[in-house]
Amino acid sequence: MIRAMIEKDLRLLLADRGALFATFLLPLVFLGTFGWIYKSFDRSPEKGANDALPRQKLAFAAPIDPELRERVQKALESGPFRVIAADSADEVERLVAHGDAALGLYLPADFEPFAGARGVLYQDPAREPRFAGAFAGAVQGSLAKAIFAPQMALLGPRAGAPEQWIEQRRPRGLRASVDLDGFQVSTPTNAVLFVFFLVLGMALSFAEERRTGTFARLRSLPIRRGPLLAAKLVPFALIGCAQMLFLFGIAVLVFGLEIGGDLSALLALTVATVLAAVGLGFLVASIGGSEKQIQSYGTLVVLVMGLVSGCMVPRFVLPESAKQVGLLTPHAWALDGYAEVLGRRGTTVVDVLPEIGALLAFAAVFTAVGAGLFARRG
Amino acid sequence: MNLLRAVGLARSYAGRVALRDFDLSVSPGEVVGLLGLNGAGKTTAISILAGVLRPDRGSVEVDGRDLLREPLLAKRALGLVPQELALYADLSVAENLRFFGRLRGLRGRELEASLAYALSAVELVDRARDPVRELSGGMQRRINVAVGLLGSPRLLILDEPAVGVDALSRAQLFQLVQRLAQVENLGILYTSHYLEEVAALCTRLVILHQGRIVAQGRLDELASRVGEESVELEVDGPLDALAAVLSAQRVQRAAGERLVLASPHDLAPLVATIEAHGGRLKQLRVLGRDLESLFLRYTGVEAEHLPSAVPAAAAAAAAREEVRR
Repeated sequence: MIRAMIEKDLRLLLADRGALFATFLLPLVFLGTFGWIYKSFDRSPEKGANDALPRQKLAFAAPIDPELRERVQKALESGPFRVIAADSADEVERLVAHGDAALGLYLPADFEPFAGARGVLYQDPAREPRFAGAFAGAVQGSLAKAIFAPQMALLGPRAGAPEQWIEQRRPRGLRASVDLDGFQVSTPTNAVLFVFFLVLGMALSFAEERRTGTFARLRSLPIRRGPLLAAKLVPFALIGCAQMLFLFGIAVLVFGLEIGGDLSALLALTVATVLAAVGLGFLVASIGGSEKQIQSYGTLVVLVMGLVSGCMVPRFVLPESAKQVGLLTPHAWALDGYAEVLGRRGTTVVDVLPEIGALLAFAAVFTAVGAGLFARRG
Repeated sequence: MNLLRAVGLARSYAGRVALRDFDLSVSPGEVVGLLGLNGAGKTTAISILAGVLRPDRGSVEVDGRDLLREPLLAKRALGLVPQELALYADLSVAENLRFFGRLRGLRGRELEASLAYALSAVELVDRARDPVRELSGGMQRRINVAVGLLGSPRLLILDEPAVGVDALSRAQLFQLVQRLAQVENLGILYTSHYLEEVAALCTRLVILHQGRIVAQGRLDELASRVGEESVELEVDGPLDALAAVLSAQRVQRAAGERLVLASPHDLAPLVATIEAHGGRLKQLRVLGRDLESLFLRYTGVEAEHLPSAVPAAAAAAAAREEVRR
């Protein structure tokens, strides 16, 4: 019976090009686009903090000692800046105001920081607001590096460069992380967001079966209700797994996504995520309503859950309170699990058991409440 | 032995009674027509009899098996043709039949034989590979019936199978139903609110009104029970007083503005009596012994509510929605 239901639902899916596009290609488009957008998050634990920042144009004018000016420019270019030379403070200001440069640095002829003769940093706070402070810090660091270069040279090669003064170490007990790539953010966020759109597909499928009378016909057949409902859910679980594996597969093969952990951990987490999505789909299907109503409130449920969980804005960007609220959704647990599996080398199923457990608990609660509602409706 | 035996069925939705004291039987070779207006309780009754909905009270036996206690065994003898076109429009005719056949437990040759039988029964063997959505409305209705025939059920429940069907397809459907009953000895329960359809097809009639069976029997039995022709008078005036005055005319019913009396030989004295007692005759209708007249008499509904254009009552909508869930 389950096989017949699976074959039927797969045939219906294959016959529906719109559904195929929404299930496989649309999330791929999102994954690719966001992967490209999230390039700004790329970082490596071996690289300095400046390497984590997206490179910015910096207008620079400094009618000062040419040697110092050259040292400052080199220091800026070794950081996250591409220097655009300007002739005057006015030009620097104009370039920033017109958006031709993200920042501007002007060092006046009498620049003498230890005597209170300061330089000016021009910055539009509305541009790259998340990184405004980091850019200002990077400029200040570059300037200090350039100014103190003669003193550093006096200390000899043993002193090294400021970047070498601090050794970056991973705390003991934490596994090594892989380079964070844009696709390590965009792949799980979009895969999880879109697999939960199964909720809509499932609920609409139940509603359509009710409207067309096929559900009444199925219930008149010599099949128990439990297995009938289970058989109705299995095809969606398979479609969800296929969708997730397709997206992760393309991300690995085409976009070079690195999976730090075990494949078994990835698979277990994926299955748990899909089961949570199927459970939620069954719950929404049990609440019922017309197809239009389901389309409205189902979309709202899926999008709001996706938003608060960090599927649309990466979880590490969310404030702590939002991160905690997000944990009320299965999406957030899935994303936390994927962050471990993708981002840390050697992650095994055991390492993501809390996330898998939470997802299975969501699946069980959604399914149990859905089954209760179904039974109550006779 | 009865193929279907329902005793004392009752069902309510949120405190509103949709079906009560429902007793029904169907024997092999018999076509029983279940008649009722929208909201009469037909859908609820059919849903319970097909094992789709549980009754609050009562029992159902299908081919000697208790539908509530042994649903899987009882349902093997049962084929349901829902009122809606219960098919997957994007799948082909054969794919639909195979899917429902497999869910009935048919496999291999048995499945293919059942599929061939069902298609030949509805005379659509040559359309097996066509997607259902490409068939005409009449053909889709016939496929809907074909699915009900899979697995050789002994009892077939047809819920308004001819809705939206052209005259030719309807005639083919009637022939099929008659053949299934007469040649293959199936018991058939057929619901409709088209009176002429039921009168032509059914060997026995059950009239359902406001969730209750108000009459059942063969058409001639129903007619003999109501006796001679009657007249229905629509009167403006004191109805109770007029009913008392006209008691010699064998008043059968007095409700609203309407009186139903044994048909008088002469109308003039009747009209004079009404006017003498402050009444005014607005309309008069002769109720014969045809099914329409019988239906009016048994249910007490007004004539204008009889045709199929009856607006769906809220109760019917609620019941249908409940069943769909």
